[in-house]
Amino acid sequence: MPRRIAVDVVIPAMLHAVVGARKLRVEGGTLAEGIEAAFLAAPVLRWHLCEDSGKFRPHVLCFHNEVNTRDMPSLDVPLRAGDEIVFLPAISGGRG
Amino acid sequence: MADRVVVAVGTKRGLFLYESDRKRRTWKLRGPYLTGWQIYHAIIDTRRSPKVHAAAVSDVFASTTFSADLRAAKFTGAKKPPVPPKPLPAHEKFFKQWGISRAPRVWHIEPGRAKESGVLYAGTAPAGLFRSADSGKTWEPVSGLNDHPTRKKWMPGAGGMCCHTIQLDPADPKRMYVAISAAGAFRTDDGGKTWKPINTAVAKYPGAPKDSEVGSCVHKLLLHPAVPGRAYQQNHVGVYRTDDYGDTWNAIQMGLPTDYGFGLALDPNDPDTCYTVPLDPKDNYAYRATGGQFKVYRWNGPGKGWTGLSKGLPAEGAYLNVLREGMSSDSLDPCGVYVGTGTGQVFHSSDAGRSWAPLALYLPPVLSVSAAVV
Repeated sequence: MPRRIAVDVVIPAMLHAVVGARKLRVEGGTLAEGIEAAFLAAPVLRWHLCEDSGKFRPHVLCFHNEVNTRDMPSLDVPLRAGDEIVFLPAISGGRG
Repeated sequence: MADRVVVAVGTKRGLFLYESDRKRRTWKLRGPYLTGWQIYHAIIDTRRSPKVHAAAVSDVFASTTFSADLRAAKFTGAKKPPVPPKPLPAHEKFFKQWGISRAPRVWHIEPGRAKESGVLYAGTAPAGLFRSADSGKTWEPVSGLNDHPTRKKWMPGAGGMCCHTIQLDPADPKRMYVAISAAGAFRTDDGGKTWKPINTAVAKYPGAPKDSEVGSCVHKLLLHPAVPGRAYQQNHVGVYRTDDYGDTWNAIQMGLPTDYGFGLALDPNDPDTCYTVPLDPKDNYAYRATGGQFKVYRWNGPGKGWTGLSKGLPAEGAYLNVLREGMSSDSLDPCGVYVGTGTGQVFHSSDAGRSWAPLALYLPPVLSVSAAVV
């Protein structure tokens, strides 16, 4: 079992007033556990970031440091000291 | 004595607050707040120390509500937002056929009664009613409406299927009203446990379910605060007034250039009047409806017809529209009337509509306007 590491989770600017913080400090052994810990620390985050299926909403991005999780085969990668989990709105669309 | 007038303007890109003194000649802008969010509706809550509440929508994140003390304007989002009911299969087909958004949205937010200072109500799309007992931190569904036996016959309109109106009877603490497009108006007399469709004598929209108590495309409904049982509605196919709590409605649109419009405002000092902006049903603009002159129309009471109000409003080529949350009035005498447009203008009158002036000209598309005296 990977050792539990404390990492920062960066909240999108539009959700600062929802979560009440710009960053959350959470612990987890893997990236998947870190994301889940963020959802436990601020349950409303899951509502804003995920669809009912549990997948991220279409225009929500999650980065592990500088790697887009969409490009990762699995979220079961170990966390290391100093890592960041960053949620971002995708720069996409053009509607409206 | 309350000495300020505040106008909350919800736009496609955030919330703008305008403040003036009782003369309402000059306005000071505060904001924008909640930038990035589409503010479908924002309202000033004058119970105790003034607050502002907003129904916020995003193309990226889930829809939610925000609240703040009016003076500090430091907003807090709901920790447990309203979760709108799922669309029915017939709705999904309609959304796909017409390219209409199926996104769950909080559409309207309304303060509760004066004695329940932490109570708020929210209307959503797909249509649902929600209640918060903790000033918007958490929301619970009002199942008496959300699971209504007629729900299978409710249909969306071009904006989705939204619960856009929540009105609390000022005299009876157990009576309130909601309006849903396109289902109709509903009234509860038992604090939200049961809801009676109140659409008798209101014309149905084309294709509405026959032999049903629902099937009315009400665009906005307002209770008059001074006369128990009196309400007005701007419908897809007319303007109506009731004097018996919605049990029956009388059409009053005769004399308007079109039956169609969205916005509605009342004069708190004159229960016999209402204001609307007629639009052309073909394209939602006022241009063809009023010959290029942007006009607000005031109904002057039974037998007195409508007056087109245009002094100070754009006179030529005004392709303007006004959405269902886009009109408001204040409680001063003469009342202020406020109209926001889909192209970012807000016009105001401080003499009950006789003359108008721009309050703002270059905002993002205006989704809602709501005035209060604080």
